[in-house]
Amino acid sequence: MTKAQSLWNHGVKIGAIGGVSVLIIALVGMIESFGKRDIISGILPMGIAMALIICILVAYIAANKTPICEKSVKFANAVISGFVTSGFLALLVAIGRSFNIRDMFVGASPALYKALTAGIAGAGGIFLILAVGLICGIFAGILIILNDLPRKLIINALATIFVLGLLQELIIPIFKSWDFGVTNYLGKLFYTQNGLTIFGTVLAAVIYCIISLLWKANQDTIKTTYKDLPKGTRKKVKTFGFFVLAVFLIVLPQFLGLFLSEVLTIVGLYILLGLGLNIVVGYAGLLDLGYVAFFAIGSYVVAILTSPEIFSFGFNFWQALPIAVILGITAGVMLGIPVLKMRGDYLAIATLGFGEIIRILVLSDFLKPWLGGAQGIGAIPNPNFMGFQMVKPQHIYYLILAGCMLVVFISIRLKNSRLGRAWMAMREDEDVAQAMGINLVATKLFAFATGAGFSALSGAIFASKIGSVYPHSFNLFISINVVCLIIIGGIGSLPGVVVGAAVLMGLPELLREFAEYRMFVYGAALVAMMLLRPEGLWPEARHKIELHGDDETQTQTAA
Amino acid sequence: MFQKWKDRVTVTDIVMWMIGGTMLLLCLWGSVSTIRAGLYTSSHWIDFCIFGLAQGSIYALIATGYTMVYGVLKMINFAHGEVFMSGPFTGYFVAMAFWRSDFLDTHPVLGIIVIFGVAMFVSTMIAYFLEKIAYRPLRSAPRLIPLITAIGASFFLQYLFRGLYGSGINAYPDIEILEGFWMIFGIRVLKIQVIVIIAAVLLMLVLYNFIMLTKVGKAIRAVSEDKEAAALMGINVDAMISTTFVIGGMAAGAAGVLYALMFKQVHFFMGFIPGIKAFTAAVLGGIGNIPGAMLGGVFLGLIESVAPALFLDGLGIIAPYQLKDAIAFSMLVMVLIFRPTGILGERLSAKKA
Amino acid sequence: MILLSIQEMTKRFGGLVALDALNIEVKGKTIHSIIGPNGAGKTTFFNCLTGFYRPEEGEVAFEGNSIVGLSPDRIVYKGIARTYQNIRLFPNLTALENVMIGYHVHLKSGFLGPILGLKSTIKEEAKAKEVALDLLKYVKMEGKEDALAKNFPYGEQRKLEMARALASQPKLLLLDEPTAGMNPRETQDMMDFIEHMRDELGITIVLIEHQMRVVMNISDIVTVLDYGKMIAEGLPEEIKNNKTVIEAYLGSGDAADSH
Ligand SMILES: Nc1ncnc2c1ncn2[C@@H]1O[C@H](COP(=O)(O)OP(=O)(O)OP(=O)(O)O)[C@@H](O)[C@H]1O
Ligand SMILES: [Mg+2]
Repeated sequence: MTKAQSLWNHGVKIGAIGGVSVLIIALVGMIESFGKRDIISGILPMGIAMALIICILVAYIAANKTPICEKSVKFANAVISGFVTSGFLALLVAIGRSFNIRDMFVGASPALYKALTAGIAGAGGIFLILAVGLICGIFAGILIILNDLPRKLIINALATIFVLGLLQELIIPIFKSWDFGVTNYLGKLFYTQNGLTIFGTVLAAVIYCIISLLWKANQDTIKTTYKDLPKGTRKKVKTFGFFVLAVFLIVLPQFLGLFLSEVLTIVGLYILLGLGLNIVVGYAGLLDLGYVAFFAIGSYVVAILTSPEIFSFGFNFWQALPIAVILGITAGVMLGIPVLKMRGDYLAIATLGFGEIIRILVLSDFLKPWLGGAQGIGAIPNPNFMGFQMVKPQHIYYLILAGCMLVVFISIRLKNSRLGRAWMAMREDEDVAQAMGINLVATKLFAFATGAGFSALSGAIFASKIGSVYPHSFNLFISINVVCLIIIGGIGSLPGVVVGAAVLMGLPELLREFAEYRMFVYGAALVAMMLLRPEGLWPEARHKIELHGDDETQTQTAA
Repeated sequence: MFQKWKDRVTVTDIVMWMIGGTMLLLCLWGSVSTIRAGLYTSSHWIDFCIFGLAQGSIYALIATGYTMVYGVLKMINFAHGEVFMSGPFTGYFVAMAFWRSDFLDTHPVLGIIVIFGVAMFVSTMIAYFLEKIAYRPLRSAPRLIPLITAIGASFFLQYLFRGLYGSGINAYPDIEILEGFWMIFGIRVLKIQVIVIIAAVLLMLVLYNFIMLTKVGKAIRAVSEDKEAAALMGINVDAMISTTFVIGGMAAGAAGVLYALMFKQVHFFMGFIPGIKAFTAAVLGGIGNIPGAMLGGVFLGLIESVAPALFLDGLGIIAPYQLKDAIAFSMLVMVLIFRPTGILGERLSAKKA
Repeated sequence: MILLSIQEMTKRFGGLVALDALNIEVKGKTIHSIIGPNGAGKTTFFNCLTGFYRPEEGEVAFEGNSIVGLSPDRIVYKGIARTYQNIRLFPNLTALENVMIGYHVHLKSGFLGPILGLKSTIKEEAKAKEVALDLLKYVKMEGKEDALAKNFPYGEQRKLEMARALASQPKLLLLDEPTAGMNPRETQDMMDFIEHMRDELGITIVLIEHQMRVVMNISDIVTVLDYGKMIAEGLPEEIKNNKTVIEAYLGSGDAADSH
């Protein structure tokens, strides 16, 4: 390889990786289906924004990875990379327009080409793609050349705009529901029916820059002032913070419309599930992929006991709830016993097997007289709280909030106890934990039982929220979703569970088009997370470094 | 004496024995009553067995991939089912193109070979890049991390192919020469099932001999025994791990086409269940043990096709075939519980299980 | 007074006989060293004592009661603790947590105690913390309780492991090469420390050690293993001059580091 070649190697190679990525995104249909939603009204559809982000990101990485320190070379590599990336798309459009590849790739539709070329027919459209790629490359190159401060400002301001555009369905209803003149005015100022206004875009960027500059100038003083406060006052500030948080959580549904409250309850249910699994996976280190089984048990117990459809036991929700939890715990212990001796991946597969067995059994005609088979059980009454019917999602929200509070409390208390330490010891090194006098059987069963109890609790709430249960609501994906959210949030971290659930469960509800690509994105996110940031988005304080290290303790035997 | 015994046998042991005993008794009872009731004739049983053998040999081919990867990396390649799916799903479009142009009728053998070639190539590529991109950077990470990565990769690939090729169930075209029956020893058997069995057995023989006799095969075995020692002996460990994925991918791709020819349909989710079953087969045979995986696959296929009728019908269970997968999963769990080293091998010490 | 008595202990790994009909008696409040060339079966001996392996044959009596076949966690309750040849701390837990886990056997609280915040649980936790902090002080690691175990330098990790073992307040402590990889100064500290444990805490210590200087200095009695067999036993001076022992070491080829 000549020197000249090796200089541009990075740009071409990384550009090609970016090209394959955008190609995939285009072909699976993401660009097209996100094309209907605008980030900036009439100018930038979200699908295109995604492609641009990838293009810029890849160019940036290409420049960053270039070992030679001359800025011009880095710049050139960024430009090359951007150009190569867009080249893939241009090629796709060229091929797709002249041959029919739609038989194979369902996403390769004229609508996609139109979206990519901004509707320009003929060679003009293709040149447009290449030109935009080039511009992205140049933009990334400029970012590389800039100093730290302006670079960060630009990147973060763009990110702010993207997030504001992305979350418009979350923000607009909140503006509307307040119904003050000001908020209405603000809403109109920033948003159109679809996407940000141009003025709003610019304003948002400017506001972001001002705030962040102000914060930058003052952050040290604020932090030291807080640190210098006497201990008592600091505690008061903290308590006040908690108080504000509590009030916020309690009044939250009042500001959200029906739809957002519904989203909130879904996120809440997943938080509840995640908190439970966090004990099993995060604390005790037992990867349980059959977690949905206990969710199903909780739901079905409530359904059977409260619904008049199959048996008419005539229980109400509050009577059924403890039974559901207790049965969930029992099931946790019963399914826990056989897998006691398994470790790591074997445990994961065995629990997955259990989850599937239960789903297949519930679905079968064999158990239909008791469990309703594929039709499930309907007509589950709403919970009734002191004579008050909890019908709306806003009401269920409080039920879930109470559940979450309870589970968070229990998690924190257990973590700093004999049992919690035993769990963590077991997670770190099972043999040594046993050699410290920890009874592995009891400790594992407690973990399974606790997790199962929480899962059954969320199942019970789920059943009464939906009003009916079907075996299809309890497939493997629930388990996988919960595993994803605690891992992406940060294994073992309670705030991580909340962040994970909000991002993984909340976003897809807000972006309906996204639902289709949910597992696609989750899968990619899991892999990316494990490769780049195994500790998660919001790691437990001390876990920050844990998962990066190599793994001698796990492979050695008792020597 | 009793005191001594009490200290040494745990409650969980007893519970496990009871679970195992109950399962065994139920199976026995079910079989006896099924046979006594005479619900099925012997030709039924033969049909079940041949179908089971055909299906089992497909599992066996997939299972070799699991077992080889476990050998070299000590991890479960959860995404292997997707490697299996990707080949025949892509091959479908080739098959349809051939079918439309009548090529499959005029040159059926050549057509099928091309379909195999395409499918195996795609599966191999997926397996190769999977290892290179997702697994290689995580060689020294704690065990949970590659497993989670593999789960993520599995879903990513599933939904990637769903996005690319659509979410529908696609029917493979009928190929004239694979249709119909043969009479063997007076028994009517489906041609396709016999062909699947023969093809799978041939492929397994090739694969087995490759691993046992060639230099590369020996190197792969050396890497599964001890990576460091193999590296010291001048073996390129990275290359051997890649080769392992390539071989596993080829076997899975071939298995995928056999599966598609037999069941006549492909879709993005088709790899999931066979993947788990093949894993079961690999565990049955003692994970890391290649002939074990092959036998395990055949065994699992047989059980799965015979068991619903044999064990469950006699117990008075309605629609036992709905529980077919539940039987396979139960087998998986049972093997993992009672014999994590597999029925054949002691390759895996209890520690690793 | 005999604390631990092993009779005819045999452990096989397939064809390999790692321990061959071993008979050893350990007297209370002594330092009993086990030496032998690499692969002699010393660590395997510990693993059999602590229940990690189950010997095929033989009897182990601790304070007169048989402990053979008990699971490791039960054996800890009887009063045996150990350290590992290649340190095995809980790497992502803090020093304090590591030691508190060692105290596990003396705690009683279960599931509901901590959740309900029972008085007994709170008291017990406070006690555990106090014991752990004391032990950290004892091994001269005070003030470092909140650091993660894996972030300590090698020597401190050894000391932390020792503190964790001591937290279970054992009668018998099994140390597997506690001075491995230490410089002479650290080795001297460790020797003092081990003697201190015997003299002040009254703990019986079985010590696997490769450094002859350590063995000869602090042992009350020395047992020599080779290929799983006991080839000699006696006072340090006797062992020093024992012909069989010298042969075993020289014959083993790798000159069994007698630095
Ligand atoms: N789990 C095992 N499986 C098979 N063989 C084993 C196992 N553990 C130990 N061995 C073998 O038993 C013999 C004794 O090993 P052990 O670790 O007890 O030696 P050691 O005296 O502690 O040596 P060193 O001084 O190197 O620590 C060795 O040959 C070893 O290979
Ligand atoms: Mg040793």
